[in-house]
Amino acid sequence: MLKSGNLLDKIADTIIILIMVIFCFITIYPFLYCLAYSLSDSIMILIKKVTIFPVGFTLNNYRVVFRDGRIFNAFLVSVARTVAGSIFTIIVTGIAAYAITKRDMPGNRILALILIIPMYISGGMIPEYVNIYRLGLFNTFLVYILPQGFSAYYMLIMRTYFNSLPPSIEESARLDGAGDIRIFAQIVVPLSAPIIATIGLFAGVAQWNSWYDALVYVSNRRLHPLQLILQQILQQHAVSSMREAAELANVVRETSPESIQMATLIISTVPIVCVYPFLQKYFVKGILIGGVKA
Amino acid sequence: MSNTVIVSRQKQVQPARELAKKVIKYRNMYLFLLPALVLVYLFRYRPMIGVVIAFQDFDIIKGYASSPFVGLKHFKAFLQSPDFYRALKNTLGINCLSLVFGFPLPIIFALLVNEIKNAKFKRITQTITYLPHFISWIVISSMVYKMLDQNTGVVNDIIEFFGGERIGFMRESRYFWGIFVSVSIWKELGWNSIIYLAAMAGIDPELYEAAMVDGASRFKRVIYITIPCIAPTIGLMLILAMGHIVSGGGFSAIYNMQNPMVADVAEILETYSMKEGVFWGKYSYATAIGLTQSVVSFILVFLANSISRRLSGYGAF
Repeated sequence: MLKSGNLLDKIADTIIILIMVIFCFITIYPFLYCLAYSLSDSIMILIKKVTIFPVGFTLNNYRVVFRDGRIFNAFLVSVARTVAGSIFTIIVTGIAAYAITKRDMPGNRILALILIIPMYISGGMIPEYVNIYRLGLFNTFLVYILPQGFSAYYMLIMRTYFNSLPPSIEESARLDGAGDIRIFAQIVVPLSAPIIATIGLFAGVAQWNSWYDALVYVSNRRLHPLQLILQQILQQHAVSSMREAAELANVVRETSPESIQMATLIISTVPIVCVYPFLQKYFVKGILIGGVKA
Repeated sequence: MSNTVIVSRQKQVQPARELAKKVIKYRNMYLFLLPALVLVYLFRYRPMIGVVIAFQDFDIIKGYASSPFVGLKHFKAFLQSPDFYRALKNTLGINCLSLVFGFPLPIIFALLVNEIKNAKFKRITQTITYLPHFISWIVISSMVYKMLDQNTGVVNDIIEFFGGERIGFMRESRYFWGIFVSVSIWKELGWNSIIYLAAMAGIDPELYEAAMVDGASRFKRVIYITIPCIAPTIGLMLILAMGHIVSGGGFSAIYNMQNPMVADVAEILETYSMKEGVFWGKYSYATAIGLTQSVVSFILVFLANSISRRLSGYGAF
């Protein structure tokens, strides 16, 4: 009886592991395929099929992408909005989260409510568009930073973390004569590295992946981020106007529009793949805290 | 004892002074809240007031004050538009498919992950399956278009290898819903399982130990312990998912996956109203559609919640 149970257990384990391996492969394969494609010679692709390894290995596609002024400029815009945007979001949201942990503060609950209500109700796409227009933020870099500057969801996650810090540390600092701002900057912030990293990741990824704000609010091409350039290449490709796509990259002979697209795709994916696995244990905790609250 | 009495009396006598003292004590904390309050006002509350344009013939140059009110004109207009009904049909179809297939799969996935015994393998599996969540829909759709390409895509290479005809997947309407829903599920499966894994991590291990003593098999332990223990979480997620039937939040996904050749099955309410509003300047018309969607999804969540309360005693709010 016990033995057959063990055997069944082993079979079940094997099946589960097999399913997981297959699923992980399905998850990762498209990325590997695009990577291989971006590293392949565009003429060799016409002869030999790409499966998982590049055919006719070359870095030419990447060289062309980085030489293309428009794509390189877009890359810089993406980096700038990601760095500036996530720092701004962390500061604005972090200080607000710290303030609402002060239960004793008059008006604390009503102020928190004012900040949280927009999580559940929003004006919608078009009223937001009109609003941005009326604020005069069209064609400015600030339109990437300010509207995403505060997030109630991040605030709730951070508040829960700040509440979990032992109050005795703060009290003893206060006895030593430290003021609010010093306590926050010199005691709370250094103790909160994990949550700052988590929110930084969320805000950074959101900024890096943003395209809608650039599409509708910004017509100045010099302010377009990488995602939008990729979208334009894709759309031109989708309606199969290859000539236009080729013109966009301006490199008809050296490579193909598809290879350019794949190289741009990999460049826009690599930063995320490099950062997020290291923060996994933090953000899973962050999600749980937020999930319980929300 | 007498001390506290005195203190409380003083509080009653001088509440205003006490309050002022506290406000001064926390003055820096009000400063800390100020930037967030300003941003929330500018970018969240102002657009909420802006929904009045649904009832106006709004002119973006004239502004709210000078645009004439026209009552329900724009609501009547979209209810008479065939484009609206096409978008509505696609929205309901795609979102229902996503719900039917996309809702149970993360639960099953979480149950499987929970049964992995090797901690390291478990962690690696999670790291890999969370990855697509962090990748933008623009990148995902580029990958899908590339892999499904009729001439050079790997999927067609495989079909050809097995003797089939190459298919123009993204050019034919009949494939779009299936492809779109599968890709959406693929992208978020791992991520959506986190909440269930957390619920499973909270189950008292003694329950499993007791079941093992009673000789319950592994499968029975999953059926009789794990699933009942995460049922409240499942219920909660299901209630919230109801709101997604009319407004799935799938704007970014659909917008990037659609192309003119499949527009008849790929235009949803969000993409339709965004194009009408932003590209064609029909602000009032588009806002009327958006407002109706919000109200209907609010009602659906509310209904789902009260049904769930009546049936199971659980409710999200």
